[in-house]
Amino acid sequence: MATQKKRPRRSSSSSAGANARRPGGQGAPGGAQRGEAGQGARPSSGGGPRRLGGQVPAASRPAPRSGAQRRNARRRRTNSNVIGWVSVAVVLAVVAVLVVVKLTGSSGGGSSAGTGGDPSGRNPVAASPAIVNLVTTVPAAVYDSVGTASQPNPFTVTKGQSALTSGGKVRFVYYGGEFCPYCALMRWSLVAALSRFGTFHGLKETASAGTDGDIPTFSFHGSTYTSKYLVFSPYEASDRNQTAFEPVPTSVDNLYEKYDGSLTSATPAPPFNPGPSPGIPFLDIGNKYVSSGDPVELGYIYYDTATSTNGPLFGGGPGRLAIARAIHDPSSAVGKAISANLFIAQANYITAAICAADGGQPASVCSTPGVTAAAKVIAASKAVS
Amino acid sequence: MWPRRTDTRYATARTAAATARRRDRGDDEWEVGRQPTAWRPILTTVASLVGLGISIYLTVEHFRGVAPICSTTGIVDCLKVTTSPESRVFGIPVAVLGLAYFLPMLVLSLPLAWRSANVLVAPARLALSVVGIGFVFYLVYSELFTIHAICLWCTGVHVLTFIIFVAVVTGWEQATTPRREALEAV
Repeated sequence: MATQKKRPRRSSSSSAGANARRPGGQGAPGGAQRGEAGQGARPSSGGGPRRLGGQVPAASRPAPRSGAQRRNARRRRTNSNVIGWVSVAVVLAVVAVLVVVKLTGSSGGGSSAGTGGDPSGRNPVAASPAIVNLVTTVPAAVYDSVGTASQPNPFTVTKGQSALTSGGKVRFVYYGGEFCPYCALMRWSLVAALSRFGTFHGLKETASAGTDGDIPTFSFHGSTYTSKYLVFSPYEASDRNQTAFEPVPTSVDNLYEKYDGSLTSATPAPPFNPGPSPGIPFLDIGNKYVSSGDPVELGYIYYDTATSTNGPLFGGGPGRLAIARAIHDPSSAVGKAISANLFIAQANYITAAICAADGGQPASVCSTPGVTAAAKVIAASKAVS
Repeated sequence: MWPRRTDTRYATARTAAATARRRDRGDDEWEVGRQPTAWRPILTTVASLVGLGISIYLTVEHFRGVAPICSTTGIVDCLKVTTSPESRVFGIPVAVLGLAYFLPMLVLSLPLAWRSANVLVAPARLALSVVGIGFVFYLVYSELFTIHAICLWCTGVHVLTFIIFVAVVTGWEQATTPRREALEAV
C-alpha cells in the first residue's frame, strides 16, 4: 500500500504539467488516474477508491463524462448548493426575527408569570399537574425533619373571639393580592399545608407583579378546595397590576379591619397586629390564629432587608418547577439555595394552627413530630383579645 | 530530481494534476479552485462529540436535580430554563432528547459515514439535522417568549446543532457522491 501511494505521487508530479496543460487528459482511463489523483491530491480523504470502501473496483469506474453529463452534474451541484445555503439563510432569518421581536416586543419585560399571556394575572393558566403534585405530596418525613426550622410563630393567638366557622367546619380565610410577593411565597406553604387536610382542584399558576419580584406561585383564582375538616376561603383583592380583582365580602373586610388593620390607611389593629402597619397576606384560622402581612421567615426569600439584597426567588428564581421540587425535597441543592425548608416550616405552622382549631383532626397529620413541634411554639405564645 | 513534498512547486503541480484528472472524468468538484470538502466530516464529528458531552452533562444534572454550572440570575438563567415546563417535550426531558439527537448524529457524522455509499446514510443525516434545527427553533422561542431566560449550555447546543445543519445541508452533494459513483460504476 505504501508503495502504491508513493508511486502515484511521483508520477503525478511528472505528469502534472502535461495533464494540466491538456484538459482533455488524452482520454486517460479514469480508474487509474482517479486513483492517482485521489491519493496524490487528497491523501487525507483517501480519494475515490477509498471513499467507496473498496466496493467499486478501479477498473469499473465510469468512463469520462460527456459534455452534457458534465453540465448536468454542474447543474445538479449548483442546485444542491443553492438549496443548502438558502436553507441556512432561512434558519438564520427565523432566529434573527425571533431575537428582534423579543428585543422590540412589548411582551417581554422578563416576566416569568406564566399567566397565559395576560400580564394582569386575571386569567391565569392551569398549574402544571407535576408542580401541583410535587407540592401536595411532600413526604411526612420532610415535614418532620424540618419542624419549625427555628423560625418564630407567625400567628397571633387570640382568645375570647367568636369562632369563625362555615357549615360546622373551621373557616380559614386568606386575603391577599396577586401582585403581592409575600402572598406569592405564602401560597406555596398554603397549598402544601392545606393538602394535608383536603384537596385542591383547578389551581392556577401566576407570579407576583413584575415590579414586586415576579415570584412564581399558585393562584387560587377559579380553584376549589374540599376538606372534611375545614372550609378554605381565599380572596385575591387585587390583580398583578394592583387593580381590584376578586370581590371581597364585607364580612371578610371586617375581619381584616379587626385583626389586621385599616383598609384605607396605614393603621394597624393592635393587639392582634401590633404594627407597624396592616398588610397582606392576611390569614384567619377560625378567628383563633391570625397573621398579618409579610411573614418574617418567608420575607427573606423575596428580599433580604438585613443585607438589602434580592432573595433567591426574586425575579423568578430557579423557576416554578424547580421551586416545587425544592419544596418537595428541601435538602436538595436547589432546596438549600432557595431556603425551601422555610416553606415547610411555614406549612407546619399553618398545619398546627388548623389542628388546634379543628380539634386535632386528622390525627395522622396533627400528631406528627413536625406539626407538634410547631404546635408547641404556637402554644407558648401569649394569647391576646 | 523530484521536488520535496514541502516544496510549493510540488504542491502546485500535484493540485494541477489532480484537477486535470478530475476534469477528465467530468467531476466538477475537482475543477480549478475547488477543493474536496473534508472539513464537513471533521466539523460535524467534533460538533456532535461536543454536543453529546453537553447533553450527557445536562441529562445527569437533570436527573440529579442539580442546577448546571451557570448563572441563575437575570436573563441568563440555566436552572430556570432546565426546570421549566418547556424543558420536557412529550414528557421527555429535552436533555435526553439532546442525547437522542447527538448520539446518532455522531455516528452519521463520522468520516466513514460521509464516505458511505449506503443509500440511507445521507438522507438520515439530513433528516436528523433538519429535526434538530426544528427543535432549536422551538427551544429558542420557548427561552425568549415563554421562559424569559436563556441557558448558556442550551445555547451552546443550539449553535452546535446549527453548525451541523449548515455542514449537512450544504454538503448534500458531497454526501451523495459516493452513492452516485457506486451507481454509475454498476
